[in-house]
Amino acid sequence: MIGVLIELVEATGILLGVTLLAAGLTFAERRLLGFWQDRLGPNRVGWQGTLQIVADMIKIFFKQDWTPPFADPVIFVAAPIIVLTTVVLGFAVVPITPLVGIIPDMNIGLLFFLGMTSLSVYGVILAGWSSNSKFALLGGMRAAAQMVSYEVFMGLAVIGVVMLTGSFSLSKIVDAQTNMWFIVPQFFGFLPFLIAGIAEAHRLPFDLPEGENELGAGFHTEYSSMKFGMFFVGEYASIVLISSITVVLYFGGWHGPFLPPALWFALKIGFFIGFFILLRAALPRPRYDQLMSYGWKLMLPLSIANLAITGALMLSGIG
Amino acid sequence: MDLNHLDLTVDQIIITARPGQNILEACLSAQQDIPYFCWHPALGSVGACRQCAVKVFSGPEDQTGQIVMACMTPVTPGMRLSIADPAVAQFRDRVIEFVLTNHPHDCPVCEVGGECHLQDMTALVKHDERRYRFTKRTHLNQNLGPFIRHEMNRCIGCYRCARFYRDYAGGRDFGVFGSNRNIYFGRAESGTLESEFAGNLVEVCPTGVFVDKPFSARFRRKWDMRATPSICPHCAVGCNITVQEREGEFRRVTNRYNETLNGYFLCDRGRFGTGFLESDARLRGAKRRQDGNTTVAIELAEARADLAARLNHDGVIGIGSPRASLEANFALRAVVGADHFYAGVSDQDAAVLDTAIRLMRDHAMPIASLADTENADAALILGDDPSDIAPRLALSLRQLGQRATTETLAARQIPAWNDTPARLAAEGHRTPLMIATPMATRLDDCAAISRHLTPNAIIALAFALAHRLDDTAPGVASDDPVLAGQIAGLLCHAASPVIVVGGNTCGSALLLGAANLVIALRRAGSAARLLIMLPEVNSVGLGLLAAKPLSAALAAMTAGTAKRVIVLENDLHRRAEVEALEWAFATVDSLCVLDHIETPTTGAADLAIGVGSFADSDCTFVNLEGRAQRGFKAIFSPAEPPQSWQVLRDAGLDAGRIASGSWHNHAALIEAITIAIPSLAGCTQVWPDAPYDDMQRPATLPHRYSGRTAVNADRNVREPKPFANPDSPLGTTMEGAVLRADSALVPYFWSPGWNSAQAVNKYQSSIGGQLASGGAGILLFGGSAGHTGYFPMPPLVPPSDQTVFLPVTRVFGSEELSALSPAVAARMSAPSVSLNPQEAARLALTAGDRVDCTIGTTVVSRVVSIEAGLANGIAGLTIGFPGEAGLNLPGVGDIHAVSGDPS
Amino acid sequence: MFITSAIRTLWLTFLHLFHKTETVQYPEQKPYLAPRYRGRIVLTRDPDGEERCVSCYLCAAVCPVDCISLQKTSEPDKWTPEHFRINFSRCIFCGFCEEACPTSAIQLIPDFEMSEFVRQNLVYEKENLLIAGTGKVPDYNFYRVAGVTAFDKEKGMALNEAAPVDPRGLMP
Repeated sequence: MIGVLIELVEATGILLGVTLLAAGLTFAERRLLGFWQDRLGPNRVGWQGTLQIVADMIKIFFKQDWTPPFADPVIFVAAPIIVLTTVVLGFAVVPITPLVGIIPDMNIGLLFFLGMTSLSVYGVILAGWSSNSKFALLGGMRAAAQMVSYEVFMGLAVIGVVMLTGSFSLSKIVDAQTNMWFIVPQFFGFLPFLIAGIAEAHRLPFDLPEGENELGAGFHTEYSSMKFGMFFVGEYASIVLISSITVVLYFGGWHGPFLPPALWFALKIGFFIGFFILLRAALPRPRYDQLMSYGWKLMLPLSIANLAITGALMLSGIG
Repeated sequence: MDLNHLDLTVDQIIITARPGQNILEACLSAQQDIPYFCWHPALGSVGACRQCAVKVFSGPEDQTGQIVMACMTPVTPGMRLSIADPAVAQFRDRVIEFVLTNHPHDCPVCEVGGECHLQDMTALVKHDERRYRFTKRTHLNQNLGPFIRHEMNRCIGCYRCARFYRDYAGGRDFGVFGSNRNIYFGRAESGTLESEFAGNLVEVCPTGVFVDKPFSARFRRKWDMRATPSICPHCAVGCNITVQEREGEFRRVTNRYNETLNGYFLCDRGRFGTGFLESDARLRGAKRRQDGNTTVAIELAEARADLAARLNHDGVIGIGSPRASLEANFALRAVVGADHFYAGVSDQDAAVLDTAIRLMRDHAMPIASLADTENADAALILGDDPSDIAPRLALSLRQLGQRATTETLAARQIPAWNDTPARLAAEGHRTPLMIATPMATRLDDCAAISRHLTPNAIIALAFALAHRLDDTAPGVASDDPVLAGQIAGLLCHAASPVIVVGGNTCGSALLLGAANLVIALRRAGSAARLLIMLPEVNSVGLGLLAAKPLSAALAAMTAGTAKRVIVLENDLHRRAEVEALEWAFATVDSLCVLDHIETPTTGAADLAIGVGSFADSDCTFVNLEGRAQRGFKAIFSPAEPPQSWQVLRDAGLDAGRIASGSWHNHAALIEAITIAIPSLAGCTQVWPDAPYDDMQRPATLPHRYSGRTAVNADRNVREPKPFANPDSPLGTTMEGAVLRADSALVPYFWSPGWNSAQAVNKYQSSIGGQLASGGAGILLFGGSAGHTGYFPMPPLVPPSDQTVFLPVTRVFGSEELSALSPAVAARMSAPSVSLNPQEAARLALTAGDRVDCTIGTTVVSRVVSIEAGLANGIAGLTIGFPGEAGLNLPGVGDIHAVSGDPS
Repeated sequence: MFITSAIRTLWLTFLHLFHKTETVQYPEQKPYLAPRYRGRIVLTRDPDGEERCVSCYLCAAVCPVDCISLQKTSEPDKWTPEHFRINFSRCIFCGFCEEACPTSAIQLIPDFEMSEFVRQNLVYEKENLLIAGTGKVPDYNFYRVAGVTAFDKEKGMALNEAAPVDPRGLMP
């Protein structure tokens, strides 16, 4: 009974933490982007702008929660819920430390993560479709094509790690990296995975579903108030999720010398979050056909080759 | 080979010209811009300004060429010339540099800035640097009266003003003084310009020497004013005008070119008379009389309901008006019923109008337009002086009378555009203009024959002329066979003579005489045409509605059959004698007046509704040729008055007098008119078919209209919704189709680089030709009088031993609306009675004496003026001045000197 | 090729973390405003203290947002505006009006602190716009140069003007 309670508290704590982290990221991103553009970013609310999130939350809660009359009301409301829920559920399988994690040793943990990211696409497509507006629909269709294309090699890229570990359980994968992070043997698996991860989170430079300069705001053009807020938090939560999975799969999870495992994990995902923001500050958005040819002509062959070579080396006994 | 066209090569481009054109006309017609100053399409060429230089090459091998003035060189077949050649371009640049050496630094405070031909030409030449560093010549200005402001410093010495005023319009009190650097265009002394065409100097001057004075007081740049095509409401010619408005306030009238009517010029009554729109005499809102003499202002909706309540009774009659539009008159006629609709004009006017309609519509007399009149080879004016009734017609007739005959020009090989030789050739060889009127006219100076006869003698002359030309015509022996012989001889020689006749002084009998003369001339093989001078803008339109005269309405009122009277835009006090009118008003139960000005009639009304004037309505008028023309709602303001026909429609619908759903828009009303009155069928095509897609409508606001977001900001910072007029084919905002030379609808003339009135060049099929856009109106009648027999001569009025008073109209004062314009009011002379010197001596009167004239029971006060041409026993009495009651003229009466001080 | 340039871009962008920021902390820190800064619009007076505006309508015509409205008085010789209104809630401070003004009457000055809570208060009338001085152009007086008569200036008294000619004179 106590155990169940502790599990519940732990799960709630982790999910709440993730959501708050995502909200906090909105502030961190704006400050970082500011510095990278030789500006200051938001620094007025609270000390150095730290209360900006609170201000933003108050604002977003008090905005008119509007469902356009031309939209399909049920799906229109369901779509942002799907996005946020699937992203947050993805955290269920993430092992943060050997002790902390909701169900870190689920035997199909990695497949669960892939399934959840695939489901989140539905949220985006349904948002685009149910808005009943041309920009939203175009954004939704872009999201569908992009996710389908990038998920293919995302799956193929992580198979290398699974082959080396022999398990889909994420805690087993972390355990397998005690001596060596998989970034070393699986470098060419890591690259497609990271790129696919950016695309899955539809972060810049792969934010074509939003494409604000040609589509207004893409799939969430018609959204306002907290429904938009869910998309917003969902996007930042998926940054955290992709960073966490990258760390778990390739950077040894909580492993590291001297410092406690939780801190190591936090430092590692922090690095990736920062990297994601840096990408936004530095890189322009590709054209849509470029996006497609990266996916199908470069990343897919690369991950297949990585898989084949990993398999060959394992069969030959070197791995 | 086509003899009517020849090809020129202009800078490697081949253009087509007509033989007899000059290079400037040919190039401008082909949209090849050459700068010019002294040339004007109506005034011809004098070659004074040297600005239109082009290079002409003698043949294909000629590389040097020769610089000539385009306006002075006729085109020849295969001619090769260059406008862009560097040498000639530099020549033009130097000329404009000279022109500008003394031009003041005035553009910001010059009313013409922004629509200045000099600015346009400077930009066209690309002259942009001032090198002259010495002192500028200056001039003192003159006060030229209430219409024109003089700013002589701006003069560039092109002579256009003097050529227009003296040579074209026949003015004598303005000219050019001095020479060289002392040159001065003005009057000998400061004083009001006497010509009634002085206002055209504003448009004729290429820069800002002559400025529209009333407009200057409420000044706006051309680009800041809404410009809407309209019809001048001040006489029956129906000149085409452009009404310009800003912020709901009338600003000015400019000429709108119509090749068959007014061409490039308007009279001052038309140009400055429209100032009545902003006068204190405007009736705004609705007023109802409450027991006794107090009136209270009421809401429009209440007034409409009140009107509908009155319509719910029997015994309702309507009195129309010749100054109200066809739409308004028809709406009243339909609401009260055709049997209860009266014309609202005096018996004399009604008889003349009725005869005129019979001649034009039933007998299909061939009618001359103003352009036909100007280009005719002989003209005879019978009865009235066109200078006072239809001033623009007088200007056309003056051109005829001043022009050399076509044979003279052909024999001397002078092209008509070569102004100075053509005018010199006219000496002794003028086109015959003949005048037979009771009083001197202002065209006498250019007339071949000008006689002042009694009305009976004029009628007899007309019938005698017809009889002399054709024995079968009913005839009388002329009082003066020598005169009749002279006139008949000149008319016989003409291929297309025009008989201009007015019935004001001589009555409808003279119209029949003139018609007989035209029939006789046509039977003799000439293409003779008739033009009947009628008094008011929509006289013909009202005449076509076949209504009984005002006297019949008054009779019905006094007899008690007419209980409730609706008067439409008519001051009955001007039309009937006061006593009869007041008796009639006292017997009716209610008197409702719809008008846009306050008149004694609106004062007598127990319900007065302020309606829109011509400038607040889409309105159709039929002019003296039977030309239906439409003007559009030109003034937009939040508190805009309703249009008469809409008030009548709404009240008629409420009272069940017209079928529900009738006249839901202007087009439906016009359709109803054409169904009810078949002779008005042409009204549906008055204006080119409009694209009813908003973005295809040409915008009446210029594309550089300013201040949209600030103009109402003092009242409310939020911008109001733009005005709309769904009845109009013209857009009411800045958005709409771009103005193009071949557009079907052109609200105002402007073309890139051509901001002045001269932009009209760009809209004509060729210089001085038709407008490519159309919109010149539709002639409702057209005929050749082939089948018409002669009219018998009606009995003449027997001579009286009392003084016979003839009505005299004055260009400034006699017309009701223009007399309310402050500028015109300042230009009016005192109401006068004219006598010849013998009569004056007999009565012991001298010019300037104050007298009382008794006609019947009416006594009017006048100032004596001496008129040498008048016959004995006849006095000319000015009529129609503001505040004056109606008189039954011609009539007999007495003149008494007022004793004592006239103050 | 693409990879290296992308990495280089990332690196260079990252280095900006250590650059000085350009942000000026207004309102604690006041930015430097150049004399030709295009801020609040004023109407200046000529050196004689008279209104410079001659209501030529050029500023209104050139204004891209049409936020200037004025009307000339009925005075025939010396033109002045009867009213002169700028709707600052529409003004984009482009300075075209200043460029167009032939008399240097309308000038943009280095002041932008004119916010209001009520939009109506951003509508400035002539009395709100008119200042006492000559602004950036100290010594220009349009009417001393123009050819029209104005105040005490008769014909021939303006700059570079000869005395009025006598049309009745016989000398060429």
